[in-house]
Amino acid sequence: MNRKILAGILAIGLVALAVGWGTYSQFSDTETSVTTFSAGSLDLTINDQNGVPVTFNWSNLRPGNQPHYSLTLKNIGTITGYLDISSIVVVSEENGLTEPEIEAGDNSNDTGELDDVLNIRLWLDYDHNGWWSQGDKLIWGGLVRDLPSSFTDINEEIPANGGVDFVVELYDWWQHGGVDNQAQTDTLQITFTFLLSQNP
Amino acid sequence: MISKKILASLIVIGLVGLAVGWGTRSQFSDTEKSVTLFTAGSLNLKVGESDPTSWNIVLNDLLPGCNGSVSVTINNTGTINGNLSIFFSDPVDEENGLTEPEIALGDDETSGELAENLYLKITIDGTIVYEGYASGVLSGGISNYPLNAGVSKTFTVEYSIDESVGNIIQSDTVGFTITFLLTQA
Repeated sequence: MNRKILAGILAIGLVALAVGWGTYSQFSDTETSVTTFSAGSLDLTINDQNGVPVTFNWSNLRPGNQPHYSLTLKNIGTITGYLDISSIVVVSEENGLTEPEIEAGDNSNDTGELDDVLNIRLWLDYDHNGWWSQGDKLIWGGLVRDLPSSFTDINEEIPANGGVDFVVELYDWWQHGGVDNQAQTDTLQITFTFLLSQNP
Repeated sequence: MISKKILASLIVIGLVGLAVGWGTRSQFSDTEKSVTLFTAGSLNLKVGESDPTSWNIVLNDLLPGCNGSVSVTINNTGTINGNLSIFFSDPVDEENGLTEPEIALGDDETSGELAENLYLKITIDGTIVYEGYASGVLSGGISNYPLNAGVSKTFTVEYSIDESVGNIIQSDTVGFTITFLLTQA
């Protein structure tokens, strides 16, 4: 009985070996392909600052001043993006009332009047000279108080490694007569948030 | 007496044998030769235009909301029928550094996020080899798919990224190796 079982196991072993051997000796062919998917990137910088607010300050402004500043907006990503201004926030502060302000009729101590007398012009400065000129792309011009809270239809195309200059200019502060005095010591803070997105 | 008869019989048989032999020589005759060659069949798998294959998928600058497909012809150019197996190996999942928008989302360097956001549908002539996110591709594959001699099939990789994925996948890379194995049927 034991002998038969042993013989049986031995037979199975031999068959298994034969099958194994047979598999190795069959024809076969192998081909391999390497597959790589990489996502692109979109990353906007302002004056080469990334993720850090860029701030400009002017003090002691007076009628006739025409301050302006340029922001260089760059796409340091790998794909083309489209630029919009997703948010504009204007904060106008009174900072107390001077005697000339009161004489000019300012009797509100809560909000300033600088936004009522100052005009603002926003444009894309294609010739990079910092001034409004023919061929530049005007985004908006008018009194600060009328400034929209966003511009989502600019859709300025900025290719990878490309950039555009955005200029903010304050102008036309001389035609308001005695009302201009209402803006004395007032503060105006304007915050622009730019958005670079993959679709126009 | 008996011995003599046997001897005589043998002689007679011998003469008849000789006569038959002689007769054969003078009959009409024809000879045909058959040469028998044993040649082994061949089993050769061709993926794409060159053999061995140079077909690789390299897709850059993928975006949320993108989709597309890449196809290649798989051909048994041998002379015998085969069974095709396809399997996936050597996964790649890389962050490739962090862009500022990724950092703003709290992303870190440990591994990329494209693998769990790149949706794949991999088919051969409509039969699904794998369907799901790239992160699970190693679980995919197919075996014993008949590929007879001279037959071609189309292997297709469809991909898509949902629009809602956003910045977290920026500059990330995902990859894997596809092995095609043809064995005799």
